Amino acid sequence: MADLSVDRRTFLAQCSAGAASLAFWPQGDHSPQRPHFAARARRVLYLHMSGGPSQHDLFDHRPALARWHGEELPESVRQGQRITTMTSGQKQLRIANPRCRFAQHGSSGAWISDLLPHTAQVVDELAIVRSMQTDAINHEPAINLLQTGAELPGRPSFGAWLGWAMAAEARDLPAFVVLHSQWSGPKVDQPLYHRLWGAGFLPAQHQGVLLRSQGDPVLFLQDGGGVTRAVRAQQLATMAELNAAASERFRDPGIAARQQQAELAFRMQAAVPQLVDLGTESAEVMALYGPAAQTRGTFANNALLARRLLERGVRCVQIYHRGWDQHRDLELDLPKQCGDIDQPIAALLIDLRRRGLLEDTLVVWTSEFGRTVYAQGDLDGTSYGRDHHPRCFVTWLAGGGVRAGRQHGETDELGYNVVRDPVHVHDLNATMLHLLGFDHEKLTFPYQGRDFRLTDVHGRVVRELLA
Amino acid sequence: MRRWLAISVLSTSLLAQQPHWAFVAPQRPTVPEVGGWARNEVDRFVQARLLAEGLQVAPEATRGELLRRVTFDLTGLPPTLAELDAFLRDEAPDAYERVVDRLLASPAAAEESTRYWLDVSRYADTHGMERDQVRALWRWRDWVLDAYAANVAWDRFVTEQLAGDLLPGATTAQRIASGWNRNNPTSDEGGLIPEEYLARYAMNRTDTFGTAMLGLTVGCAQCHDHKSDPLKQREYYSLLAYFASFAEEGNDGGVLAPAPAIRAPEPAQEALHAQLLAEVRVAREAMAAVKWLPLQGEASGAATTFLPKGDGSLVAVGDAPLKGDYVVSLRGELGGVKALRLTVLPEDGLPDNGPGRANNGNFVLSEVEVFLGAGEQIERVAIASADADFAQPGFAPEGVFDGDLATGWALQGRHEATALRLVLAKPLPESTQQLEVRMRHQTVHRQHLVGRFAWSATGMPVADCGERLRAAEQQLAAFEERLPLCMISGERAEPRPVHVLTRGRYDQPAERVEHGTPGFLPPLSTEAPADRRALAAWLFRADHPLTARVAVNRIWARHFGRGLVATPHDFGVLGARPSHPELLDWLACEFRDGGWDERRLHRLLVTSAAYRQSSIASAEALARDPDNVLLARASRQRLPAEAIRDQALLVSGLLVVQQGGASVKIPQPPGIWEAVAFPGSNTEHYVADQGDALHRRSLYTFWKRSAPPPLMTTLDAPSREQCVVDRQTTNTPLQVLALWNDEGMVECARALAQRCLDVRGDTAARLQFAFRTVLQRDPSAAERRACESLLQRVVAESPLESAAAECAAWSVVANLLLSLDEALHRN
Repeated sequence: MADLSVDRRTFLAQCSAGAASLAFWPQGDHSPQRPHFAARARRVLYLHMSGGPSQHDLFDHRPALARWHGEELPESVRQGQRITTMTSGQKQLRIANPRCRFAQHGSSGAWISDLLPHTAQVVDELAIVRSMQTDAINHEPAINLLQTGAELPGRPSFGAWLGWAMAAEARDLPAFVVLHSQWSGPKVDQPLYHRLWGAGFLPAQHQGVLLRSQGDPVLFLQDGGGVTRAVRAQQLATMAELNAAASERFRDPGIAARQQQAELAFRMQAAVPQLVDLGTESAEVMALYGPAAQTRGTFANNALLARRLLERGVRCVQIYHRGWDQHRDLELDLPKQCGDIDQPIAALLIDLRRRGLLEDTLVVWTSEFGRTVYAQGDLDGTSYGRDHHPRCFVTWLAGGGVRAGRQHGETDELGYNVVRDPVHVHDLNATMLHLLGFDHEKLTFPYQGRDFRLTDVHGRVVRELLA
Repeated sequence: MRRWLAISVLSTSLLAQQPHWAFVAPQRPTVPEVGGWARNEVDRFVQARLLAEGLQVAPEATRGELLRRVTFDLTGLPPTLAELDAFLRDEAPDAYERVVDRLLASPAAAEESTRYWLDVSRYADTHGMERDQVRALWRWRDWVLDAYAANVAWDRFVTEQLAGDLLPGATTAQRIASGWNRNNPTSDEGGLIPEEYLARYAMNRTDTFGTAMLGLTVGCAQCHDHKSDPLKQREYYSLLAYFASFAEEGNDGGVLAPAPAIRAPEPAQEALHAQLLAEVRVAREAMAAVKWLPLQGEASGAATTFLPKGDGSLVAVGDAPLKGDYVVSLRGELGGVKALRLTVLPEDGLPDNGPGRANNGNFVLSEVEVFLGAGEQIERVAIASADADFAQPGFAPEGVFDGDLATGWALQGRHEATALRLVLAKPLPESTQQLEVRMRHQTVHRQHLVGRFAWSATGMPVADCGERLRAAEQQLAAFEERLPLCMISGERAEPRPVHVLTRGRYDQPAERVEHGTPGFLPPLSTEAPADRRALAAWLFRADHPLTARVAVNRIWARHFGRGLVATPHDFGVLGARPSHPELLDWLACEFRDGGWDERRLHRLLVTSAAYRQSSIASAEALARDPDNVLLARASRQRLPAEAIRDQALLVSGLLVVQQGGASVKIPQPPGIWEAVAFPGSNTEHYVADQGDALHRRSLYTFWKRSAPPPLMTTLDAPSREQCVVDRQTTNTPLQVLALWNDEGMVECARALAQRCLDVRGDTAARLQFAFRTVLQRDPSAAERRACESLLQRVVAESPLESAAAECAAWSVVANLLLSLDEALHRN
């Protein structure tokens, strides 16, 4: 148009549809933080098993349990430590020996339960921490603590910290993406909370974006009501005209930023459907992840999506898998839960490795706490389960900068207390940040007069886990 | 950490010399003498500062801009086209002031003030943790609405919310107000340790009180003495003591209204409720007015000895048989008697104090049979109806004359005098002197025989009284069952001891503390009892340095975009210094001394010349004062999430105006709740409401804490878990997608398109209507051309027939206008 002023020309050049736009996922007023040292990993794949899988039945092989099976937990082991009100009223706390079989695998010789045969195949990629500890004994504070560094809600999540610190590499996708998975265990299970991937006091654009398995993969993505791609493009171009006029009139640089976000939204509308279209994956890859990968919303499908997200430069992909809060029916439900995740996890590690992505992708498998060595309910029947146990649980790490094959920490012969190399949740977070190039004591955000950290005033990097 | 320590040392040394400004009570400053531009005192402070800085004020905003600004700021809605036209036409010098008065008096203004207060109060419609079940606090939200609508003074507004339950003769409304304290998230997680959660709830309340009332980050002192402010950890727990002894459980149980809670009638229900209560009262009075003639008599049967008491009653002595019938002969002037009354009475010698002979003091009277005459001449007297003061569920009084020995009247758990009235089918003959009554105890319940009893009779029409009372009571009970519940505040009989918690951990109590307020603030009155009422009184001491400043600053920020203290949550040492300290103090004094009149304060601010400036910055002002601290222009503010949706509803003509009531569920994409919910929770499945509910203001949108309404959170609404006094605004592609494709926004665009098409005239006229409706201004020639071109291209490419294509094209334009940067702001 002939009546465009220079300002307006510049605005339109920056923003208009079709022009090569520079807009990335918005960073707010804060430029990305400079890494404190060379990063070993550039992105994170965070696998959260919500509810607390039983470490006794999966990774923490304690042969003495066979002898102790059915015996009362000795007070010399419990030492008066608190237990939840679900078992504190139980007359007996009888030790339950796992029914599965353990064997050593790989050159690392790590003990893995036969419930995880595929994981066992890739065990040499893992650094297994058998001495994880947390402060909280209930799910909600425990999962807050793990993912935000504080039991009380309100702090930024790990992925939000990362997105804030590192910004997005992807042009058309957010820095932090969250996926929820279906599960095969008990349908009545712990809930999740949007705050778990929230930004807390960090700028809100750093909150995790849900990649959904129902309806639009990203909320409100799909144009409806007969609005075609061409119509949206025309509307966007007109929006640029009108916003340019407003920018000239109000002299607010925020207007150009808003128009750029509209451009990014428009590009996401094309990029996200491509992302979730698994038609481009080879039959071999689909087979690697297993038949469930064909079904939207399964853990296997999410695992494959996670790889595609990481490939496209998303900084943090977090997959939640629920159903692990097995207070009862452990023997029945635990194999089902393992069946959901085992093959896809092995597939992910293999797939990332051969695409050259595992070298700089940090993979973490964890939960908010573990489960008790003693049974909840009647150990002699088949319906027993295990209660929450914060004093030890298992996390494993793999990928960028991780000392693969490391077996870290040890519990007592009953798997009740940590006896060597305890790793607190804060230590895990400090170590993860370290691998990503950040000193957890220096990565701070000022809020309400205080410099906040993911690790609060705690945490130490676990050097033994670093390659 | 190091920075904390450095500041901590600094602040301590500073405090030693000079107290922090915000901890010294404001003194009313002299208003600067400046002339010309200023319209009121606010302007004189602003202007004096600008003169000192050598900055020019901006010209006044256009009328359209000003009307949009003040309407959004006061009501959260845009002006209607009629309001715009009226204002543009009104040339009277006080046209603007009259607009302000109209807006301040509108129900929409109460809704907008309530919206702010819900953020501060962390209001939501669910408990927040674990199952995150539905909770009943919306009657409290409606109390806030009513209070704002009535312009209740700020001191009363706060006092009733903090301590309404403790006020002498607390009304239902005041008890509902005290629901404010109950807005904290709660959990129903199985296995939770109650003490841990009770400590968390008390902390959440204390932190909210600190931020909302004191503008202080008191929560920092949960684990240690505050690093920058002079708040000791011990003082934090003394403050917490006010909030630690609610008569509540650590586990909310997932119930709608965990105790303490009350039935809280809505205003529309109050009249009927009062009427039903009155009917019961009148019926009881009528019943009490009936004169009963005591009947003397003796009893036999059931292998029992009956001893007469002085009052004419009979007591059964000895162990009761498994079953048995009493035969009672009654004598007296029985002619014309219409009803008989059996009174059962407690008695020391009976098991569990009676009135029955079973172990638990109960009985089951399976049948009462009444006979006239004696010997061969006896004649059965028919009973028409029965009622009683009380009946055990499943043991109704009607059971005593239904001819069924398996049913009967019983009173489990009640050990006081209780009457059973039997209305006779017809009055007894005139000459009647004697009656025989058989009291039968033949149910399966062993030894359930009456232990002490008396008979009386009346010739008055009891039947009507009993019928009436029963009907009134039933109606009342049925009505009260439907009244909404509301969680309220209420203290335990025995206060919980409060300890300093080492590192904030509930299981590491240290020294015990008593109720108290921080030592660096004015002292508490020592006369009042140590409760929340005293805490409220303390807040409103004339010499309190924070209460008025904090409140005034929040209201200032609503209208000027940032607070005079830019950190409304933190007036402490690390908070921002006030940009205009004298103005802040003058406003605080004015607010306090003017009776805490919030509406007057709003009026003062929005009628100032400072407020009426254009928001367009001169190049000089932009360069020298990019954040507009000095107020040489008005602020340009992104609308809050609620206002963005409400604007779309209003301009599309869909808005349904209706204040208060239970929260409503508007359409949202599928799976939002299901994806994260606890299976089986009553917030697992989202089912949108229908009809008017879909088009109510966003204030009334149902808020599930663990999965809040996506349109709202995408547009920066907080999660309602903690007190929020200043929302962030962000700018993301997800917001654009929501504005384009949210079902409600699409519906609004269609409705607005239809309104445009209803305009008689050409495309230019329709576009003018659209721009004026949404933006309160005409389109420029270039804007009009751009929109016309868009319309043409959409129509040209549309596969639809022409009318439908045109409608679709206008929907695209309407959606465009509603998602323009300008539509998302008030300038």
